[in-house]
Amino acid sequence: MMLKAAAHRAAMLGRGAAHVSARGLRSSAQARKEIEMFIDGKAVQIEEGSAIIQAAEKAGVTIPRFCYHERLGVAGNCRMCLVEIEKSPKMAASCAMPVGPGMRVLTDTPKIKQAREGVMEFLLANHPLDCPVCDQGGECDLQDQSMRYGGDRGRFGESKRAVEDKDIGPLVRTTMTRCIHCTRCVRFINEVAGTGELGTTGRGNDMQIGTYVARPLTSELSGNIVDLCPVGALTSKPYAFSARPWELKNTESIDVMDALGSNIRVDSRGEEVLRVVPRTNDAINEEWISDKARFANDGLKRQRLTTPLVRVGDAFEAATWADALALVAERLRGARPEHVHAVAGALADAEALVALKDLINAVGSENLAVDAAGCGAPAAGVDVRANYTFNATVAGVEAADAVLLIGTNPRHEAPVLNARLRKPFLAGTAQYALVGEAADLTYDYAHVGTTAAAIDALAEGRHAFAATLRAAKRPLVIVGSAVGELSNGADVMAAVARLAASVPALVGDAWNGLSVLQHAAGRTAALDIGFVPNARSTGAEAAEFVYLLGADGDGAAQPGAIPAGAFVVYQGHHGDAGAHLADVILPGSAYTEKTATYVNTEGRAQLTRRAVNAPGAARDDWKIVRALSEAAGLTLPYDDVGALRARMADVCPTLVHVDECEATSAAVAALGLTQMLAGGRGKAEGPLARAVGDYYMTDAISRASRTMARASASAAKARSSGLIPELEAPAQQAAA
Amino acid sequence: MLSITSTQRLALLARTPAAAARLPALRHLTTANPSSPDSATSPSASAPTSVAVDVHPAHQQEPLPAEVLSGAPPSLSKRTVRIFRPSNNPMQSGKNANLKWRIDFDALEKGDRWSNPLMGWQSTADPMAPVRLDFASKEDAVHFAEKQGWNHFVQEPHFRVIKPKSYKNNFVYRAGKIPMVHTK
Repeated sequence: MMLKAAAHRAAMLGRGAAHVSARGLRSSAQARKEIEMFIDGKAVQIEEGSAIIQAAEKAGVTIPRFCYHERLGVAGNCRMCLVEIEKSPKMAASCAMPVGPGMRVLTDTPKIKQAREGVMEFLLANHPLDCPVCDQGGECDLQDQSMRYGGDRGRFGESKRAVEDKDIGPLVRTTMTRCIHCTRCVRFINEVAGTGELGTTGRGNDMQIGTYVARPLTSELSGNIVDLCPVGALTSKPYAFSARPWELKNTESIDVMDALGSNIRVDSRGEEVLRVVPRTNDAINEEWISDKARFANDGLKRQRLTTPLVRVGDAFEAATWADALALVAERLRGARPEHVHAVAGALADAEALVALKDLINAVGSENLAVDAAGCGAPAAGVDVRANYTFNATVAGVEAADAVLLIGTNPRHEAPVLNARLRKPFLAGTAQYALVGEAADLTYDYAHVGTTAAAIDALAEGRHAFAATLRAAKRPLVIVGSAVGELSNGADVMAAVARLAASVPALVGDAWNGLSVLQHAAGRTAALDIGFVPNARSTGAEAAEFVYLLGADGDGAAQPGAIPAGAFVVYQGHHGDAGAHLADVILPGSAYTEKTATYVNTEGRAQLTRRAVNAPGAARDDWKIVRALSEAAGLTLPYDDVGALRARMADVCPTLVHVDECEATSAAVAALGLTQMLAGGRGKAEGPLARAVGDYYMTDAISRASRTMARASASAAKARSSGLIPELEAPAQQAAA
Repeated sequence: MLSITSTQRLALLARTPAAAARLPALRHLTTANPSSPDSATSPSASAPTSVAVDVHPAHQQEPLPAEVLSGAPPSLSKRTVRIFRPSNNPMQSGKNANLKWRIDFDALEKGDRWSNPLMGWQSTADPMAPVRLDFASKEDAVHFAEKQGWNHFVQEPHFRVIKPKSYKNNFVYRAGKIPMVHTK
């Protein structure tokens, strides 16, 4: 089996590599002329128009900086990055000075040393000496750079300036006296987050960063200003005074709070996850993460299931693993096979899903469903992968020139993706339209209509945006996952297929712009594995045995969907909605407590990594299913995770191609469109639901988090007091 | 190492083929990494030719399992390690953190850490929990892991893409509605 898997991998790798190069060509910006210049005598080739500091980065020369950040606009106000240019009388700020051919730059001369000492002395003149009580201590750019580049004494004898702290919501803590006015936070909120709440007032010594009128930040990306702040002016409120960076164990992992699979680093001390910070991955999250990914970690400590529980009357009683598994096995074997059901929840990992599917199939049942509203399977089917993945890729959206959103609010379903969607808007290279409920998306869009009928209006060219879409070189149509879960989802998806047929450049080999945005981290893997009902499945009405794998009642596991007489097993990590339905609870692990595979909305498999142990008697999810199979006398043929992953490679090779994103070919995608079209029975009409209601409370972990509860309350208050604008489309246009 | 008895040595040597057979258990997880040698084939054959030139001569041979001589407990060679370049701290502008390749051990499922209920002191039952090994290159790290008989997973790093940035973009004229208000 190993050899087979290896050979298969080699074949798939070859294909993946070819695909990656095609994608690279497609999404790269137009190449500009490269010039040669010299940094401290080192020759470096760099694109024309770049800044000197970028050339230095390429040459591996470190230039200290405070205000410059690679992903924000250039401000040029801290003056820390001064360099000498040969034959130039004055020093230049390397972040704001473009490179020139043959330019010779010096970064390490006595003059520069003196300039840096001068800048540091001015910055420290008004910076409080409170490093011992500052949360940034130990990972502070000002601290490190004053040690490396600062002078050894200060000459400032006057009293220091003091600034009142601001209250900008429950997530970001401010100590404005520490602010050095680099304006990174202002630029981030303006450029990336797009909510524009922060700004500056006053000049010189009186300059202040603030919100003008006291108000909380309303962006879902606001936590990133904590990382951006080079000093301790903006720190994390929930993490305040919890730990020092050198006490923390860093574990590189993957986020599961949305389906984007943002790369994160989980920082833990002992058995506790203390914070989550982003990792750089330009293909997915650049270096941002959403507030839910960053701050929901306190939910990992509350409402946890720590021991197997068995329902006795109206109460749960603790049981041993052996007793609980024996009971579940007995009921599993006692039920008629065709009435055994399994439901995959939003946070289920691929290992557990494959094991559970194998077990349910071994019992003799085909009743598998994802925990989605409606029938437990997306309306477009799962035969063609392109019908449920984000085919344009997350990085690819930057290249789009016409964007149509159908039944989705990416700002809530994937805030980091929304920040990427804003980039072409700022560059003026794309136009946007929305079908569905209006939302404040941080970019202007034409509101085509709120009902599904507007999709056909576009397909038939009855709306002005139809012409834009058809003329676009890289049109992008993002369909929310909630659309396929509507009761008339098949009709709506057929309308989407009709629309796709009317846009020539939409689906091709070089660019496939028809993308489905999932909102649950475990959903793409579940669909890849085939966790959907098929022709041999029976309805849930007569279910005798229901296995909920972290299914918390978003759809197929809703209280009404399970008949009263059924024996319900809940396997998961939180005592949330699903656990209340259960007869037996088997405690599993949360994403920080297991090394497991998650497939993001693009179809990219990524591995989390165990940072801490699961509490109490909780176990890895796939091991619970494996143990149950043994108790039921249907032992699954894998004893370790290596063998299980070999099985995963047999079921769906993409599950073990970690970090690769494999596209569906245009011919197969066209086949998928035919299927979508054939699924329609009637006219597409009716309102389009959204997948996410309250952004801060979408899954078992965020619902258990106090920080998320505070953020949710703060957002609700801001909405009721009119600080968040009413959800009106900026440019309302009726369908003609 | 010197205190090893001849019987123990024989036992270890007898175990060696088994240890070698166990090696590829997690190998297939390696991400797009043709240069990580599979123990079934010769490493230089599976490595790309351009890289093979740079590989240290010692690394082109089948590694000698270290447990033959090291006296490490057999349980150690069942452990999985991750080989990766540690990410930079997102809070800081320094870039040197991810210049090296690191090996560290996957946490055990149980008994990894616990805290003293009175004082909050942290304890662990895993002697490998604090171990971090840094290497200059991926090949060095992979070779070391192979030699120790550890299952390893190579996590490829992600780097920033350098896109030209310019101060003048703050002032470029654009016709029509201004997309963003600068409040700086």
